[in-house]
Amino acid sequence: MSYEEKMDLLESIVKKLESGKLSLEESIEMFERGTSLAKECYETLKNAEQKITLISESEEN
Amino acid sequence: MSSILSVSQLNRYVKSVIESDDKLNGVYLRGEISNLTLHGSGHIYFSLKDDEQCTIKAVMFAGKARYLKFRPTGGMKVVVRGNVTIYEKTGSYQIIAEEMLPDGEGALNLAYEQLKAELQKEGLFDNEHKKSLPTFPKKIGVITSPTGAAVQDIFRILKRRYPIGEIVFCPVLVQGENAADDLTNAVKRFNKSKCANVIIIGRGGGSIEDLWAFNDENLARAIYECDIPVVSAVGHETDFTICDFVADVRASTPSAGAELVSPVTVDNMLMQTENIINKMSMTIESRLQNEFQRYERVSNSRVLSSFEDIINFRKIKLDLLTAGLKIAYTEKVSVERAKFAELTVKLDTLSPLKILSRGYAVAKKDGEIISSKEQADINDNIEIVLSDGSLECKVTGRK
Repeated sequence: MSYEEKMDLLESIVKKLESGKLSLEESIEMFERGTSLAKECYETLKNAEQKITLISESEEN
Repeated sequence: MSSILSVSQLNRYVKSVIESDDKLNGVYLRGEISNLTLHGSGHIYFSLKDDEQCTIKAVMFAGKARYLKFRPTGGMKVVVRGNVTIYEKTGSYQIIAEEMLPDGEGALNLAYEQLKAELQKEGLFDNEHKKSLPTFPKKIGVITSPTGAAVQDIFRILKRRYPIGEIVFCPVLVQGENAADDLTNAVKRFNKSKCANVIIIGRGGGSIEDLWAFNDENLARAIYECDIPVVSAVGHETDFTICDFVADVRASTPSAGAELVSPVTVDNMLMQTENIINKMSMTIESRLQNEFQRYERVSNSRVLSSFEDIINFRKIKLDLLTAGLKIAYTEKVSVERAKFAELTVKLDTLSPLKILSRGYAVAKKDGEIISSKEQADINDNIEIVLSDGSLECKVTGRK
């Protein structure tokens, strides 16, 4: 999953949690899912190193 | 030349003399345009005059006129390159212009203003056509010189703000004869391969001549046709180029361009992630708090004052239910049983054994019941079934 996909998912989890429509068990499950996703995003950002390529390399792909 | 000539013979002769003179071919002539006629065919007829009020007729044919980068107007100072010739019909001499450029100070400015007006009229700068920049670009295309300050500024800022994006670099010439073509091709390459989500095109500051490549018409059209959003980042705050107007967003400097393509920095994102974690924690905490309070409310109510009460209440309810079921079941079974007994009695009264017990008998021959004397012959063996057994008999006579 890409960073953006993870963030999108995170946001939908937060929305669901805040809606209050989930059962307590579901809420706790969502919370666990959300925190582990957030942690992954955090790590991605912390460890990001810029990649620089020439257009000729990108064009081949 | 002793004989008498016709006018056309003379004109033709002079024309040939002039046209064979190398000094009159490829002449550069400076002057001010007057008597301008833009003919419907595309030919341009005009005169050039100088400060001494000397004039020469001039024509630029449509084939050349269409390549003009500006629109000639009366009073405009120009430099013309062309060949001197004679128009046979009138015998007047003239210059056939191959090329024409605005002359002197402000000439570039004029060409710039004219191209700008033309493209604006065509709709190349229209806001409806402008694309918005992506919030999280995966790949950022950079079109600039590999040696200038601009590329360093852009890389440095992107490294600080947005290291999760990939930079796709297309090194080009940004000034000189081939710069405009180089820039145009770079935009086209990105658009063709779609190997970026946003493009910065630009260079550091310089004179109007230095920035001139960014005023190229083909470059403008390539940017207009580019499906990827383009940020123009040419020169300083005060420099404006055609590229700036046609691009989706204009940045005042290359550094500003780098900031525009990274609207959300990694620091922002880290903060955002932290906020999300906090939000989730708060939500789940308040949820748990609510659940706990609800439990307390229920367990403190007067009817059910303790947890045991709840359990007991449930147990009683269950017992009642079970008992009810049992009763229902038993009733059903006894009804069925009574019905069965009744049926048995009925069946019993109809049983053949019951009849036999009253002294009747059944006669069988070869296991089949017989009911007529015709069914047995003399000397046939038959069986007489009684209530308690049977007799093997031989028929000795019929009546």
